[in-house]
Amino acid sequence: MKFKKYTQISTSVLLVFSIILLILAAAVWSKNIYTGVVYLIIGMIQLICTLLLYPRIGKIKDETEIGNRSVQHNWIVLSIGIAGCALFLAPFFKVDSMAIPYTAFTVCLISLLLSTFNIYKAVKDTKARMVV
Amino acid sequence: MNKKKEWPWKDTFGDYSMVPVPAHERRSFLSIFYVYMGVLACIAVLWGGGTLGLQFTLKEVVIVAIVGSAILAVIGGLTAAIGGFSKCSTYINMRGPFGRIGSQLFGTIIAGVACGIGWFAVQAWLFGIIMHTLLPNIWWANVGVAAIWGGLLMMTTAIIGFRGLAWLSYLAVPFFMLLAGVGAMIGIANAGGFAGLAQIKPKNPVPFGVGVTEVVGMYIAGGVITADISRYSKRVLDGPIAWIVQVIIFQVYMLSGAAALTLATGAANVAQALLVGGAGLGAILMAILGQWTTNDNNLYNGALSFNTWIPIKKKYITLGEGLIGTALAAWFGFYAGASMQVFQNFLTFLGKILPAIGGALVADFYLYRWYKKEPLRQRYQFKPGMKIAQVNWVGWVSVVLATIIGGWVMKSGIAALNVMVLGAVFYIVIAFVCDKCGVKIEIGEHTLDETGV
Repeated sequence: MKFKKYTQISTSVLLVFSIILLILAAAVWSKNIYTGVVYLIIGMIQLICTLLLYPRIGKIKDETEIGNRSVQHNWIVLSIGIAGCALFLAPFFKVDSMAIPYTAFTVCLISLLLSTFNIYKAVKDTKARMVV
Repeated sequence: MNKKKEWPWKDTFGDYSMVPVPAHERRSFLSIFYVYMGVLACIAVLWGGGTLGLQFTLKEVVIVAIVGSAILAVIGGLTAAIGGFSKCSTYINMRGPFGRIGSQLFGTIIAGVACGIGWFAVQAWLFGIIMHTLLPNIWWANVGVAAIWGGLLMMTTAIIGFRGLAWLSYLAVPFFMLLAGVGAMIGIANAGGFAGLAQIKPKNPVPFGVGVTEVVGMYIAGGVITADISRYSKRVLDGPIAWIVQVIIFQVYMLSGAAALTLATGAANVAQALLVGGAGLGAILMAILGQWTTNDNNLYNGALSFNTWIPIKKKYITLGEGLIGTALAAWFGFYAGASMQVFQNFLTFLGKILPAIGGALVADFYLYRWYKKEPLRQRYQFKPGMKIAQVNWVGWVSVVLATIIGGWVMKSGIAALNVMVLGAVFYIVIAFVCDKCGVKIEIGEHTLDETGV
């Protein structure tokens, strides 16, 4: 059950990052609506993806199965994180204050790194499948 | 022990390419959906949307995309259900309407030639165009040169194997969803709002049927071979539902997003439009990555089909297939440069020829075997020691007639739909008449061994 605990904690951290993105979306909405929409989409996908993991591992006892499900969800967080990193600093999504795009970029980068580590840990600790 | 008892096969060639997928290897609905989405997430879909953006208004693009996708949903949904019932790949299922030799031949046409060589070459060529767009003044980013090294690069990951392809697909799917959305946003911003975008007239308008044929042709190869994925599903309906959702919702969304971008910027080259629109280098890199992963799959599936009659290690087949595809891509690059005409011709050609095979397969499984009073769940249930026909000539004749008449002789309607319906109609009518007249539709006999050969 050690891995389950780890998964719940790391998922909570990812959840916080997705909420930060949603707050940033609200902050830039009036300045550049397209930037707001992109932050909103990425934040919402990460939020839904992390939220859904809790019930999906809730009653499961088998660690490998928990690992498999963790891998599934972290793949999505990882790939949408890379998309965010690639887009947030693009000219089309520029806003007056560059502090916001850089904050969003950093949040996405940390999510990306954490989800990568989560996949690695699931495969290493629980022998989960990387191909879900 | 029990598993072996229930499952009498031996998977000699790997990936259950010649035998049914056993129960313990079957996957969830979500897994099936991911894999289908991974195939859809490619630059060619955005390119297809860009082509539609030159030919139709935004409203028309959405209608064309919905109609084309609905046709694909029907074709792919029906073939996916066949895979769900039989748990076998398309090329094994095709033993029903075409016989053993026919399944090898037509399987090679669909997956080997159309996907493994045709689509691989077209996408390697598109890769060359993207590189040329990014770095127009550098010799190694020339369309032909970049197609060569891009093709070789894509080939190497296909040779590594299925797991590598899957990982890259997982990364590409959300990328593409977002990229299509960004394309639409840039389009709306450039046109001064959604109302402005909706008013833009296309540069080269074409008839409605041509657009639908292009949409169908773009993904028809995938639509006919849906059983390759759905055979892994736990429930029969998982495959069809996953296919229908991704094609009706996500394909329409991606085509419309790309078309909006082209309409607003006037650039058919989606990569260039994204770059000019300010999506940044990251968006272009995403496009390249998605294209790369999908092309891996093309090569991989093609090699699987060639493997049914070429008894050598799959990686050598992948290598040979990849070299041919890369050479073709380079030829496109040097001969056609960045012209979209090659791409449009290829889509139209696929839209004309492939639906006939799907039509015959669907007619045999759902209609002919129903007429022969074979229970649904007992159709295409192959077993070791079972006798199958070497050739089912009705399938062969139906495909040839449907392709010629529906694809080239008939001048009205949607070519892809004409061909598919004719393929099914010819098959069922000829088989029915032969049955009534006592003429055998099957020639020769072959006994399956435990490896599925």
